[in-house]
Amino acid sequence: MGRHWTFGHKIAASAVVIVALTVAISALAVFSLRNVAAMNDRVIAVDAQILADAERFRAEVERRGGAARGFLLTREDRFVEGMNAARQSCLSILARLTRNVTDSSGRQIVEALERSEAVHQREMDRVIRLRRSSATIAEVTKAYDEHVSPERDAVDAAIRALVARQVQLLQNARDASREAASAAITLMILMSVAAAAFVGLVAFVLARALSRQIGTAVGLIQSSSAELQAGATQQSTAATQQTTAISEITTTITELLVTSRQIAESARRVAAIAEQTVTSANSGEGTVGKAHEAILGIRRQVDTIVNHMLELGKTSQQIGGVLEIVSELAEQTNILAINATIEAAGAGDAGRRFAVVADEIRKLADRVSGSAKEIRGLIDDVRSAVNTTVMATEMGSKTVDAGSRHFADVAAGFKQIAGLVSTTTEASREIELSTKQQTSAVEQVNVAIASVAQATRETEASSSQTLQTASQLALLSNDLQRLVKPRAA
Amino acid sequence: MSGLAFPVFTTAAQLRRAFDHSFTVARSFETPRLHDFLSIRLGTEPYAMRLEQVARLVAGITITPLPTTAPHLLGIAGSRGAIVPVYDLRSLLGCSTADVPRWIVLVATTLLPVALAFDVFEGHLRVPGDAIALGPTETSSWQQTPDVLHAPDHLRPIVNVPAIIDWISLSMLQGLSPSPMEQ
Repeated sequence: MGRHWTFGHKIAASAVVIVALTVAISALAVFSLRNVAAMNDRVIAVDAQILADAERFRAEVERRGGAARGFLLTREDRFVEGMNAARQSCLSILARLTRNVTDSSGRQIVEALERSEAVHQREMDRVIRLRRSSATIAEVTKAYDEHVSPERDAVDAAIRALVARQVQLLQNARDASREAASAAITLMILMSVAAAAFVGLVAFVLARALSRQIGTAVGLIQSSSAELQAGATQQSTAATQQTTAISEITTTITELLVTSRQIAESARRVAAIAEQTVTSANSGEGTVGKAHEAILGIRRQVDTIVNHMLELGKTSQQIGGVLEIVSELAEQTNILAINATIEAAGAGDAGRRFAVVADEIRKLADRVSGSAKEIRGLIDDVRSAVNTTVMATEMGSKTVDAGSRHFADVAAGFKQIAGLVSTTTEASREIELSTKQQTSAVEQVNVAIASVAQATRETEASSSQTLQTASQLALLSNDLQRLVKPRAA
Repeated sequence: MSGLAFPVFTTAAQLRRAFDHSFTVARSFETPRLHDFLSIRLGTEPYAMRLEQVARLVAGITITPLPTTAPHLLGIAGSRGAIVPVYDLRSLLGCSTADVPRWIVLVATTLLPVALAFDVFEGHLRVPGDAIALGPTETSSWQQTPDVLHAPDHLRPIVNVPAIIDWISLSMLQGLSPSPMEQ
């Protein structure tokens, strides 16, 4: 049996062998049955026929004897006719026996029978003629007893010999048939046993081969189903993750879609605002011109302020000079008061009133001196503030000059802004158009993502189905493994 | 802007009211004993001088230097028709300064007219007796009395004018001119 034969080949080969054995056994059985049947047929067709002919011959001989005796008794011709008919039957039977009996012993018996019958017939014919003659009954009876009866006994003996022979032949044929049937049965039993042994051997070999190959295949199916199960699980997990990712992508794309629409709306607003900006820039240019004139007016006002502040500084200096005089007067007054106090003290009680006045004058001089110091501080603050203001104003004047120059730049800038804003307007319109196209593309992407999500869900369902199928396949392989290798399961 | 709202004018109004008020109250001689001082500064050091020891306070007077070896004698000055020697109070008390003193006081003494020059006259102080911390009387230092005046702004050593006058008188009589610090 080839190693690379398939199960079909092996089973077919085994079936062919079994069929061949069955056919051989059947052929042998048919041959044996036919042999036995042939033997039986021969027995039935030849031996039994011979036996029957012998018995029939006996009967015809009896019928002929009876007809002869009837003629002898009645002298009626109809008995002679019956006797002749019986004689014809006997002759035809003898002819058939002569044809059927082929062996020498049988031919001798048939020839003896034929001779005794002929003799018997001749004697009977002679008795009949005797009866037809004027002989008496007694003479007829005597002749019958003396000549016919012995021949009749001879015929009967020949018939018995023939019957005995045929019975013996039938017995032999039955025994031969039984022996042939027994031999055929024995041969069939042996062949059946051999066929059963062969079938068992084939079944064992097939079972081993099938178990080994199917076990290997089932093992491969188990490992493959496990791998398929793992793959299906991984695919299911990946499909789930992909579904989640696609859901997030869908959300993101939806947000992107909203954002794109907002951008388009913003771009449209920017375009509108840019147009307004162009108008405002044009009006701003005129406003800048007016502002430039106002700046020039501010410059003149600043110059006036600077002049006034310088005048204020000069006035502060004059006030400081006056304050110096006041301070000196206060100091001199203080000195005079102190000296008056000294003089009053020297005058004793007479100078006490004067001392009071001097003291008050000294206090007044002290306060005036203190106030003069405060005023000096204030004047210093004023002068410092004036100086700071003058410096700030001069810086302001310079700033105004710079601002005046800047205003010209601003005017030019406004013109440039107007041009740039026009460019911006065009760009905003392009952005709006591009964003609308982008929105349309994002919507298409969203639809495509929805299709992908549907496909992913179907993939996930398919993966689940695959996983279930793999699980069932694993169970099936386990069942197969148990079927093939019970102890392995 | 109101005139009275400005601080200077407010101060002027307060001065006017205080000055007028001093003449509206009744004269009282029952006031407690008060001591008058001149607050002066020698260089950066604050001092006090009893007003009863001062005959006159003069500012910006011209001091004419004399050819003398006395380092404390700045020169002479005229006051009310009299010629007085002017001594440098700063060098007498050990305060070194190179500025020309602007203020002088004529010391009230019967021995001889003497003037002491100093840098800054800060004002007049009238304090009660408990504001004066008296030192030991047996001290022989002529430079200053150990008395200290608790002025509102500073602790001011009180210049010992009589000791300085005694030392100047003695030095004029003996024709000596030793340095007070050497002494």
